[in-house]
Amino acid sequence: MARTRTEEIVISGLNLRQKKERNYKYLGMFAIAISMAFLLVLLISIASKGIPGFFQYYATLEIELNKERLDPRGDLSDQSLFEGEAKQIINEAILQFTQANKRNEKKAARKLLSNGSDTRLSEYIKNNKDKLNTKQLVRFVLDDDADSYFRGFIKKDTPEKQRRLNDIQIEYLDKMKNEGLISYGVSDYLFFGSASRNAEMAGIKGAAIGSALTLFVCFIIAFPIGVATAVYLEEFAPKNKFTELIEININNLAAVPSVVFGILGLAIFIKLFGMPRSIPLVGGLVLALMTLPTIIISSRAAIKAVPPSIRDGALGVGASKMQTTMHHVVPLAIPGMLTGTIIGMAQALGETAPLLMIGMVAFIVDIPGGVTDPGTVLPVQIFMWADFAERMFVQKTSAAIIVLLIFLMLMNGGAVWLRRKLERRW
Amino acid sequence: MEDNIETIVNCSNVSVFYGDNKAINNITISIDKKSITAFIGPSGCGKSTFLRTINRMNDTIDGCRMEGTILVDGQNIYDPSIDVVPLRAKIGMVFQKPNPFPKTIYENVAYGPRIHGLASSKSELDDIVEKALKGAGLWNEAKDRLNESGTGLSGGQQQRLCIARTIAVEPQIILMDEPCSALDPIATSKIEELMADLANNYTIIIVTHSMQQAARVSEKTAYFHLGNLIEYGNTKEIFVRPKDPQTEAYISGKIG
Amino acid sequence: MTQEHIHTAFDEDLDQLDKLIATMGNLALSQFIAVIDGLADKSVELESLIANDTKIDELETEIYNKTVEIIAIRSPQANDLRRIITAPKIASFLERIGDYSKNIIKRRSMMIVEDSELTILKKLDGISEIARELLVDVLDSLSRLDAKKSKMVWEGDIELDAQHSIVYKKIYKRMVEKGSSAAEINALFIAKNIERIGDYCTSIAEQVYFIVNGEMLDEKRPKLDNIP
Repeated sequence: MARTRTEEIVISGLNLRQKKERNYKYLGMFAIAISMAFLLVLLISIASKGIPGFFQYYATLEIELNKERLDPRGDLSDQSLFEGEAKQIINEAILQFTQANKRNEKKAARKLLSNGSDTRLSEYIKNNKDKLNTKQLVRFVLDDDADSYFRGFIKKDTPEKQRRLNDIQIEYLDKMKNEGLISYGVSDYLFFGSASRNAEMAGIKGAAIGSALTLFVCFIIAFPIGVATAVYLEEFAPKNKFTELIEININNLAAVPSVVFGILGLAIFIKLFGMPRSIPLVGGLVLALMTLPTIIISSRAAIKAVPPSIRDGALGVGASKMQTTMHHVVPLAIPGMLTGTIIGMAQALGETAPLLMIGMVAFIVDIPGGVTDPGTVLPVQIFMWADFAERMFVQKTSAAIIVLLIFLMLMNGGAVWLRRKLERRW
Repeated sequence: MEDNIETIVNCSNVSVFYGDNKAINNITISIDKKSITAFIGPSGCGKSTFLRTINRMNDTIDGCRMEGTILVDGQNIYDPSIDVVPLRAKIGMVFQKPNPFPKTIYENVAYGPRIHGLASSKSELDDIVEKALKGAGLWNEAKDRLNESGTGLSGGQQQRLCIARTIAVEPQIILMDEPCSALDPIATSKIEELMADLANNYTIIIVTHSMQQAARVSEKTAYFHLGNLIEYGNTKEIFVRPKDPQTEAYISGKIG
Repeated sequence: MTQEHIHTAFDEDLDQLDKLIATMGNLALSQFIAVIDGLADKSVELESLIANDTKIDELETEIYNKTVEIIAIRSPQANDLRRIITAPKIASFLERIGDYSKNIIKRRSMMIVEDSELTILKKLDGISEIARELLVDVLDSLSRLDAKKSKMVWEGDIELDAQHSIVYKKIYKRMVEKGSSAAEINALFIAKNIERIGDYCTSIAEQVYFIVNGEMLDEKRPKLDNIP
C-alpha cells in the first residue's frame, strides 16, 4: 500500500520521538534512583546511630537487701526509702566487688554505676518486698561513660588525660565484664525516663506526653475553628472584596515561617495575657495558629470538591442553605478535611522553632499531668539533647529522632489510608 | 373530553439577567394544570434558565436578576414575604444528570419529608417512602434494597429515585430539566411513560432538547429561541402545523 | 405487532388508525355486497346507498390526517412505519372501490329509468361473486395482517380478469349479432367497474404484503387483458 506524504513524515520522525521518550524515561528513573540513594543513606545513618540508642549496658550485682537500712520507717513509703541507705548499700556492693582500697580507687568505683541506681533499688524493693533481708542479684544501669566504654567510644589507647574514664575505672569495668556481670539489653529509660542530665537516664517519656498534650490542645482549637471557617467562607460568605482579602491573607499565612508564630505567641499569650511559659496550653495555642491556615485551605478544597449537583438536589427538595450545607456538603467533605487536618497535625508534631520561642525549652524532669503543667515536646527534647556532649546523648538523640519519624510516618500513612478508604463513597 | 383549561403557573413579562446580559426576554406564558408542557429550542435559548425561575433556583446564582411576575396558584412567588424553602417543596425539580444523595435509597426519599416534618412517626415515614417509590415506578425494584446506597442503581433507576424523592414532599408542580439526556433509550421510554402517569396528579414542565420527546410526551409545547418565546400551543398543532416560520424551521431541522 | 409499546399512547394511536381503516373497509364491503345482491332485481332500492360515499370520503380524510399526526408525534420505525405509511394508500384504494360501487348504482339507475331489462345483469353474477370474495378476503388479510392470504388475493385476480373477459366477449357477441342496445352497453360498463374493484383489491393486497414482509410483491402481476 502506497504511503501518503503524511505517513512518510510521521514514520521518519518516529525513531527520534521514540529515542526522546526512552531518554526521558531513563532520566526519570535515574532521578528516582538518586533520591532513593540519598534517602537510603539518610535512613541508614539514622538507624545506625539510633538503634543502639534503644539499648543500654547493665551491670548485675549482688546486693544485701537489709530491711532496716533500706526502709527505716518500715512502711516502704517514698519518704522512708528516701531516708534509707540505698546509695550506701550499692556503693558497698561495688566496693566489695572491685576490692577498691585507696581513696582514688574508691572514688573511681563509685562512678561506675548510674546516679539513679538508688532509685532503681528502691523500685526493686517496692516490687519485691518478699525478698527483703536476703541477698539478691539486682540489675543496674551503667553510668553513661562506662556505657560508652563498652560501646567502643572511649578507647584504652587514648591518653588517660583525654579520656573521661581513668585507667582504674577501665580496669574495674574489664573485671566486671570478665566475671559476666555486664549485659546488654533494651533500654527502659529511653521510653520511660524523663529529661535528665545523666545521659543514661535520659528518656522521652516527658517529652512524648508533652507532645501529646500540646497536639491535643492544637487539635481541639484548630479543627473546629478551621472547619467552621472553611464552611463559612465557601458556603455563606458574600463574594466581595473583603472576603477576597481574607482569602489572600489565609493563603499567605500558610507560608509564614513557623518561628513568627512563636514570636506572636510570646507577645500575645505570654506577655499580654500573662500566661505561663512552657505549658502545653500555650504551645498548643501557638501551633493551632500555625496549623489553622493549612486546615482552612484543605477544608475549602474538600468543600469545593463536592459537586454542585448534590447541593442542587438538596435545594430542590426544599432544604434550606444551612440544611444543605450541614446535611449534605459537609459530610461529603469530611474525608478531605480530616486528611488535611492529620497532615497539619503531623507538621505541628515536628515543630521546634515556635515552641522554643515560647520557652518550652526549660529543663523539666516532672512529667506534665495536664495542659497547664510545664512540659516540653519531642522535637525540642531532641534539639536539647543534640547540645550535650556525652556520646550516649548522640545515640539517644538519634533514637528519639527515629521515634519521631515513626510517629510522623504513622500519621501521614493514616491520612493516606483514611483518604483512600473514604474516597470510594461516591 | 374537554381538557381542564385551568392554569397553575402564570408568567407575565418575565425577563432574566445575568449581570448585564439579558438571557430571557419578556416572556408571558400560562401553564395548564395537571398536564405536561414541553419547552423546546436550540442550545442556549434560555429554556433551562426560564424553568429555573419557576422554582427560584436561579436565586442561588450570583448576579442573576429577574423582572416580571410569576404567579403559582395565584401567588406571586417572588414576593419578599415568600419563603423559598417551602416553595421548593411545592415545586419540585428533577435534574439532567441523576443526582441521588450518596445515602441509602430509603434516606434519599425520606430526607425531604423529614426536614419538612411531614411524618410524625417512623411508620408514617415508611408509608411516605413506599408511596413515593411506587409513584416513581421503583418500588418493586427497590423494596428489598432500601438500605443499599442510592448511587448503586443504574442510571434510569437513579433518575426514578430522584423523581421519587421529589414526589415524596407532595409537590404540585414537577419541573424536569432534560431528565433523560443522560439515559439510554429504554430507560428514557420508561421515564416518559412514567411521566404520563404522573401527569394525573402533578403538573409537569419538561425542558428537552429532543423534539421527538417533546412530541411524544407533552400536551402543549413552547418553542424558545435566543431568550424569546416564539410559539406556544398544542403539541399536535406545533408539530403538524406550526404557525411561526421560525418554529417550522427549528422543528424541521433547518436551524441548529 | 403483538408486543406493546412502552408508550401506551402509541398503541392507542395505532388502534385508532386500525379502527378507522376497518370502518372504511366495512362500509365499502357492505355497500358492494348490497349492490351486487340487488343488481338484477328491479325491486331492490339502491340509490340511498350513494349517501355512504360521503362517509367513505370523510374517513379517507380522517385517516390521512391521523397518519400525518402519528408520523409527526411518534416517529414510527420499522413495522410501525410500514403500517402507518400504507394507511393513506389503502384508504384511497377503498375510496375508489366505494366510488365504483357508486358508479354501478348510477348505471343501474339509468337502466331502470330507460326501462331496460335488468335480467342481462344476471350474466354478471359470476364475476360479482369472485369480486366479492376478493374484497372479503383482502379485508380479512388486512385486519389480521396475513401475508399469505393477501398473496392469494393478489393471484386470484387472474380468475376475475379471465371471467370478466368471458362475459365481455359474450355480451359483445350478442351486440354484434342482435344489434346493440343501451342495456348491453351499460352492462359492459358495470362489468368493467366490477373488474376494476377486483384490481383495487389486488392493490390493497400488495400493501398488506408490504406491511408484513417489507417488500412489494413482484411487479409482474399476472394480468389477463385480451380484450380486443
